[in-house]
Amino acid sequence: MTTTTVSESQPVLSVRDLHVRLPHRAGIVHAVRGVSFDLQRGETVCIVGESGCGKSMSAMAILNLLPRGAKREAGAVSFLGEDVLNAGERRMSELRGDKIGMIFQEPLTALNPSLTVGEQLMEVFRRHRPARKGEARERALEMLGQVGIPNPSERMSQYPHQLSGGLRQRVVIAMALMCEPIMIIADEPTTALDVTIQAQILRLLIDLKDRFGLALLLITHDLAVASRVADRIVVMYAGEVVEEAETSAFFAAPRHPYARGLIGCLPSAQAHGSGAPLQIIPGTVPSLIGEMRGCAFRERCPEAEPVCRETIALRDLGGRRARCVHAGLAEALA
Amino acid sequence: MSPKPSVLSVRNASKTYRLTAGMMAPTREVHAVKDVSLDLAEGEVLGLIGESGCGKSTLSRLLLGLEAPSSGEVFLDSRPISSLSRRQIARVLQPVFQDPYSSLNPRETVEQAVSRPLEVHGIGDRAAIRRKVAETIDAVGLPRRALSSYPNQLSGGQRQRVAIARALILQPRILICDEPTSALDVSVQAQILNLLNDLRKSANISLILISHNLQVVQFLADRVAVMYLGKIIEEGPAAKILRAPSEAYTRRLLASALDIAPGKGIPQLDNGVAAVA
Repeated sequence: MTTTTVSESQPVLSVRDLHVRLPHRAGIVHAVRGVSFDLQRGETVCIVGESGCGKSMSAMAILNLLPRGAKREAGAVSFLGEDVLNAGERRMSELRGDKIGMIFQEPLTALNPSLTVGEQLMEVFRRHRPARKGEARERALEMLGQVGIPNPSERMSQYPHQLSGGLRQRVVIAMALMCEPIMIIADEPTTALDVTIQAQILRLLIDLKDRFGLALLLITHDLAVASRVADRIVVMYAGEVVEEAETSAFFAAPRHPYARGLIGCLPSAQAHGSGAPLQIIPGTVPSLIGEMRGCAFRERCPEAEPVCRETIALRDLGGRRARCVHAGLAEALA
Repeated sequence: MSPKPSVLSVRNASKTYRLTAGMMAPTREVHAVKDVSLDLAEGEVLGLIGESGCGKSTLSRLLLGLEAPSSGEVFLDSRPISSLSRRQIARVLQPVFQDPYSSLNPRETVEQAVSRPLEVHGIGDRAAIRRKVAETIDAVGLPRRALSSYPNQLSGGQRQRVAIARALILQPRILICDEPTSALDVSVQAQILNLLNDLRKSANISLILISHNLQVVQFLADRVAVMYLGKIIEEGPAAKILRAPSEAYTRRLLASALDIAPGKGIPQLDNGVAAVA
């Protein structure tokens, strides 16, 4: 195991110009198109967007867990300053489950149905640590307690199918924490759960993140969740980052028309009983096959102009970024 | 009772399933629906809220006449649903399901899928069917060129519009929508919710909207019933139930329904109703 030294200002995760291409019947799908962002120590960054925007693909690319046939290219991906893009799968498999914890949407796929809860937790620990069985068992019991599972020693000998969805996701979280990670990547961790359970699990995740000082990269389609837990929001559309900002600044005044549309079409944005229709975003997402010219949102955008057909870079707006030609106006006038 | 006549009502319906774990294992009874009574008035939207396992899907099967209650009865226009044929029920009552990916036959074009109910019921000649299908496609906001498309050529939102068109083609008076937008992205969800809202106004259709999403229910429903462990634990005007519920479980559901609130965190729910799950 390599030891890594961490300076205070160094981001935990730094991603530069990440691209993912997947083969498809109709051609090569360019699913992630030049994504860049940083995640600082103890910070929560939420990547938000609708299905197919590339948010999960970006996470999988960082973890080197892309589906077969998918190609990853990037300027750089570094974890605690270490180049993990060119480090190879062997190094990544050392980091996954150890310094990088992972939580996915469906806890049943993350758990091995033929192993007891205890066996799986201990296995993760002993894969990454030269630990005796007794020590691993102690750690597993401690973590089950940390994630709020009652009677941990009883649960240790149960199989995943004997647990409810909420309990399973707690086990997955315990597993992600076994080796004292520095960063957790959670992809829609509560989407498959009932609303009351979702609130409990999210609350747990945030409490644990604070308790252990973790950096959290949370992938979610749910803007309400993101607004409540994120320090920074990254909005993706058609494989690109279209906006990035500190959470309160983002929701106070989103700079990209897509981000504004997304917030506007939530049913909660509509006053109850007004009878007025919900705001919609007309049209559909463009095809991600082949290269794209100009703003990917322009066909659906109420503010589109001829200039939007030209390639639009992510503009720096002082502490926030947006990929829109109109985005600098508010700052310029202020 | 509602002042308007009930188009659909449920009287003391219960549904019990017997489960066996194996040959030698004792039979276990699961009370999926317990003594439920409900009324749906003409032109009304009734929201049925509950979490997985609360019995809302079983109740929707009883409402659709797909299963008979173990006790109690469902009435359609004051006639017991058990005395009506499948076809009679289908003329009045149509379902819209959650997943537009699995509810459409992948080998049927949109035109075939939407016209099928008319053919099955022997309504109209070819020209009349064509006209009716075109009208219905317009009503759900699909372009006419979609008629020759197959489901895999359509987006999730377009598929759900096809499913709604198919449900509307017989001009039913009631739609039972089971999580109609749960499989859809929010921008598409807004389009489908607007469509359902237009339909209830323009076609005077009554809706039962089954959903776990309180914001969706709040947008559409006039009245709300909350289901928990097979029972309706609370029922009343949407504004009242969603603002000042009297049951602890409903309060818990409301507290878990998160709105946009930067930096506010996730509320700590008391564990008074359910244990750690």
